[in-house]
Amino acid sequence: MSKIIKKKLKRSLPWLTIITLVSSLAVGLSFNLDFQKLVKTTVQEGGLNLPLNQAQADLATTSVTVQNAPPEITNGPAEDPVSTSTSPINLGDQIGFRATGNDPENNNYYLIVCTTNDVTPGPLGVAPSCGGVQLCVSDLTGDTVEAVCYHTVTDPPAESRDWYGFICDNHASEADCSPANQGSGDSGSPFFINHAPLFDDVNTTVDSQAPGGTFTVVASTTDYDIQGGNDEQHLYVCLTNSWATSTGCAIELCHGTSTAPVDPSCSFSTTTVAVDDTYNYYAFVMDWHNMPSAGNPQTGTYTVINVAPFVTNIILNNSINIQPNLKYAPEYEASSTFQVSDYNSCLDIVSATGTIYWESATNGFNCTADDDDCYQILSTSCAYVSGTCADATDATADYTCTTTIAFHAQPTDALSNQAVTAWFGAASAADELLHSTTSVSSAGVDVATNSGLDVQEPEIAYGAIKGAQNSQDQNGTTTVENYGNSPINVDVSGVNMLRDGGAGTLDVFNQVYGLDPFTYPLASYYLYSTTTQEVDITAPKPVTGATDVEDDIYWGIGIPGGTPSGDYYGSNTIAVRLDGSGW
Amino acid sequence: MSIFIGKKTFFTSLFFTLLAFTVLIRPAQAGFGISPPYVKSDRLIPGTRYEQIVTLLRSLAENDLLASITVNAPEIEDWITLEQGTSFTLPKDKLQVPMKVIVDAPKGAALGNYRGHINIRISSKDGETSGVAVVLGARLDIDLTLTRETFPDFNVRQVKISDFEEFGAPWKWPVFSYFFYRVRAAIRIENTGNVAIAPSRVQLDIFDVSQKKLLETGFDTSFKKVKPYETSDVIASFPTKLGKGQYWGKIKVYKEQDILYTNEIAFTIAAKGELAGGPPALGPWPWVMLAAFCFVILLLILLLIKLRAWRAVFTMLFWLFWPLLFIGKKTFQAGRFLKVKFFRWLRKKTEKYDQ
Repeated sequence: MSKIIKKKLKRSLPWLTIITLVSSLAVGLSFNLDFQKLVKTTVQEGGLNLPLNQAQADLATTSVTVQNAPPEITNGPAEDPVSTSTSPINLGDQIGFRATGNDPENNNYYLIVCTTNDVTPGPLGVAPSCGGVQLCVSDLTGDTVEAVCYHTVTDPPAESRDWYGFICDNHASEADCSPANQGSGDSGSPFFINHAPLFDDVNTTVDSQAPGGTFTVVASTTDYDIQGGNDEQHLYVCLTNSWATSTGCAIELCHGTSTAPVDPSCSFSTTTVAVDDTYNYYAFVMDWHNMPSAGNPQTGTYTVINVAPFVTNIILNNSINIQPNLKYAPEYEASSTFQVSDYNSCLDIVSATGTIYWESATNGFNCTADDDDCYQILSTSCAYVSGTCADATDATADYTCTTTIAFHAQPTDALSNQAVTAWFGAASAADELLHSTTSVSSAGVDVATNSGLDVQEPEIAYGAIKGAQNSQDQNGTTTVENYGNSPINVDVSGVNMLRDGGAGTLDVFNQVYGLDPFTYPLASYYLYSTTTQEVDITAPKPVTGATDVEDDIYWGIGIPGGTPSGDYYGSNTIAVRLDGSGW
Repeated sequence: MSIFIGKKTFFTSLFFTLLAFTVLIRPAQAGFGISPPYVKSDRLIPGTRYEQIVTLLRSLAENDLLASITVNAPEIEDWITLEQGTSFTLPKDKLQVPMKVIVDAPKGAALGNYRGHINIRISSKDGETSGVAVVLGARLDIDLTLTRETFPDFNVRQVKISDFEEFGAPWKWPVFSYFFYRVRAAIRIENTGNVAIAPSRVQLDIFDVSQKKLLETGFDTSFKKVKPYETSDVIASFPTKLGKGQYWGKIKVYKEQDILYTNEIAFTIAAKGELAGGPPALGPWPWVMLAAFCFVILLLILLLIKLRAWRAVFTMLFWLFWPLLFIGKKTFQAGRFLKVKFFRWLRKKTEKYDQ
């Protein structure tokens, strides 16, 4: 208690001295100066105009009232966090104000921050209030303890706002506030406000690209903030609607930056293999203070266009020479395998067609279908090779086109008339809309030369002829048909005929033959058993299966006198051989 | 009576109908032919063998037939053998029957051109019937030229690059992967010359799936040679470090300095266990190599035991691992020191709190 009394006395002494000096001065002046002319001599009191000396005659005692002194700010006020023009507070975020005060009477106090230099202490110890807009007021804080209050930045359109900090004590009857303090430096008034960029539209300015192509997205944005320089704007283009200012896109396509008023843009490329389709994306914009736009997200689309497939690595007949069958036999099956690639994925491939053609065919692989030199294979005969297309990320699938090769297909092997040429495979493929260009196999194969024949008659029927007579002009006939793909002649030979069931022989040379009907013995050839004779029949290479290429050989026989009667049997061989000069 | 006449008329009509059917409609004929109709080589070196497949063709193969072969080549008859013999069966249902003609030109044979022919005659295995039967046959011309001049030549018929899988352990270890994790190209070579031959070099450029970025380039110059007149695959392999993905291989096959063949082939490296149809077989060599490694290690151990050099080994290991031991010891001491400091600090705080 004594301490308090001492403290009070100590504090009162200056005041007592001042009051004593002032009183002495006043007394001195009043005795030495004529105040009649300087001061009014009357006073209004109770509606009466009384002489002043008379009105104050009963207040002559000396008194003084010591009022509550306001607290003073010893530290701060300061923003927390500190805002600057280059590091403003985002609209909607909180800014804190911190200050420490010292109240002469050790009163607790409030920190109050106003937009004007106008504050009213609170009565009865309650919080003070601002004459203008109150930004924040702290809780009641103990003397010399730092007071903090927070303001949520809401609606001001300006980029900065002045503020005035006061510390007001909670004196019960004479609460008082410190003079306004705006702090100093970056942490002082004003605080800076960052506004979100406006974002109302997004466009794919470079669109409709092939797989692997580059798309460009431009955001239509506006940012009016100019404090600390025009705001940078960041555009994020995401594949999904998942984005955060701190982490960006969950699945990012691209991001780009621009300085207002330039619209931000960015570019991205698809994977090399991409299905042709229109894809959605989500665009997000924030400024360089990580403040997202209220317009987020804007959705846009980009379109991967359809591209034509292409064909590679055509292998004709597994690189094995084509070996046609003979006429009337089931035709030789030839195939052409190849890879079809489509950057819209192998799943996009719809069909394939092929051509197996002789390289000298008119118009090459664009030849008109002809069994002799050109096989156009429809898509119905071209099949996808199972398991070669994995999924939508796979570009390539294998296809096989199959056709049958006619017996008369143009041969190209070493002894053919087209030995320097070969057969090639060509193929093309299509997706739902586009056709590939046609590709041709790197290596050709040969169609083998076949020399084949058939004789329509299983035997030569000479009929019944008496001994010492001959067949006269009654010729037996054998019709030789060319069954292969080369011109042919025949080698003819025979054996002696033997008597059925007993002794007796008809020598082979009793049989004669020729290419024209004749009267025995005026034939061109005698039949021999020891040597074969080449007969130059007219049997060129067939060019179609519809027309038989055939020639007749006419036969006659003479029966020597004394030949035992009976049935004789034998065989004549007709062997095919290549007619090298008959191509 | 009228009924009897009617029956007779009916059977007569039926007979002629069948006859007309038989005569007018051509039956499927059993044509015969050969392909090719020659055995020809114009670059045969004395002392070498030349083989040619001649295919015997039938238009109908409803029955077995007998092929009888006669070689008529006076000067070179001894050189020629038929793998199937001079008489063999053309089986039922086989429209094409291969016949291998083998020509062994003697070393001392005179150079020059030799000609002849081979007659092939087919007949029913049941024997000949009455009348003058027409038997079909074919003539195979022989045209051989002996020379001492070598003709190294070949064609590339096709190239295939196989898909393969990434390796698992232990084959993915570099010591194995260098040898076995390879892109393999099967190159079908047709030797058209008269000496064994192989490509002088095969180059493989591997591009990404867009064919724009060159990822790797490899060469292979070591191939098993293909015998004269034969067609067979040679394997070119290229070590790779590529992982799972699709790639394009641009292959060039060289004959000496000339590029004989180029092609672009897509192939896939699948993740382990994901290749459709299973991974290509590596063969026994990885296991042989692994066994060799194990064997060498065992051999070293045995050698050490034999030489009683364990003490030296332990000394060597001690000096090798001494730095590690020192670091470990210091780390342990530092940890212990920190632990003591921490608990002292904790005790002080507790005491202060209690007060």
